Amino acid sequence: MKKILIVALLLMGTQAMFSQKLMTRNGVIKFDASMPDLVEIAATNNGASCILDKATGDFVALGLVKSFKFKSPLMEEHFNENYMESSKFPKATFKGKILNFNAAQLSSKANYDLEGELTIHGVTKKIKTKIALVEKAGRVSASSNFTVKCKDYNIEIPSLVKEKFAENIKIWVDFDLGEK
Amino acid sequence: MKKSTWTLLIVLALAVVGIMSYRCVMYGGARNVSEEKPEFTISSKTIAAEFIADTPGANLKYLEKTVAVSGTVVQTEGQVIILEHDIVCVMKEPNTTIEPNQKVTIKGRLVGYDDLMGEIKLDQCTAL
Repeated sequence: MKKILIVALLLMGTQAMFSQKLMTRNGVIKFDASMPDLVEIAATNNGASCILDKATGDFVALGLVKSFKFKSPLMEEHFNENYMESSKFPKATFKGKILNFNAAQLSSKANYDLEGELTIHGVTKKIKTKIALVEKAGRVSASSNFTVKCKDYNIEIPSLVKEKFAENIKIWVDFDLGEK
Repeated sequence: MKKSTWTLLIVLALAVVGIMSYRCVMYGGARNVSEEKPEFTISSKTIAAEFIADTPGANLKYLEKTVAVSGTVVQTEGQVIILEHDIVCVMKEPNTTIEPNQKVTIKGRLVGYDDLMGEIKLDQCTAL
């Protein structure tokens, strides 16, 4: 009886190890499309979700487009209605993998290669970037930054305002991942 | 007064009006969801079922709309209140009064369906 119990406990233990998913629903995504010395075109989303599978290094994230907050409500309206068409394409997603991921090495901060598919405005493109990971008290902080081009995602900027937009839009992401 | 003083005053006045109208256009006109009448009043169970069954259809129906969702609170965390059936409400003000297991109706703007977490998100929420 005792043996069975021990075996059962061990099995449960390995189960837990294999389903170690860390997640957040308060992730931060920021972007900045401003040109130097011109109007600031920047927004922040504080409610992005992200899941990291510690067993495989699978990394997925999702941000709802309507959650991006601008300083200017007018800019926010244009962003949603004219550029991102957020009623048609309500979310931006990333689905990928952290290469050479090893959960045992998380205690010291390190940069990893992150590869995957980024979907914005209904267009999916492969991207490659770096992601910094570090574990502290059972939580993993994951942060990365990369740039995207509007034209890659079929986001049209009218020529009248084109010079106000940077061609390469900077994006920063920050996720504090923990068990649910 | 001299003519040049007058010109200067007029230019200044025009500049002030210009700056004020620019600020009004750029920073005014924010929506105040808490003062809007909800377009839909619905239980957390029903709205969750609608989003799970047909996400694009539910998006068309609810996105950006002011909705009042009723249900039992399962978790509170800072400015966030989570109702049963995974309705995540970001409150307008930090929450101090609402606690788990309480039955509430929350009014807010429907931001979208997060299919990664299986959650419906609302922001600018107030408790009714």
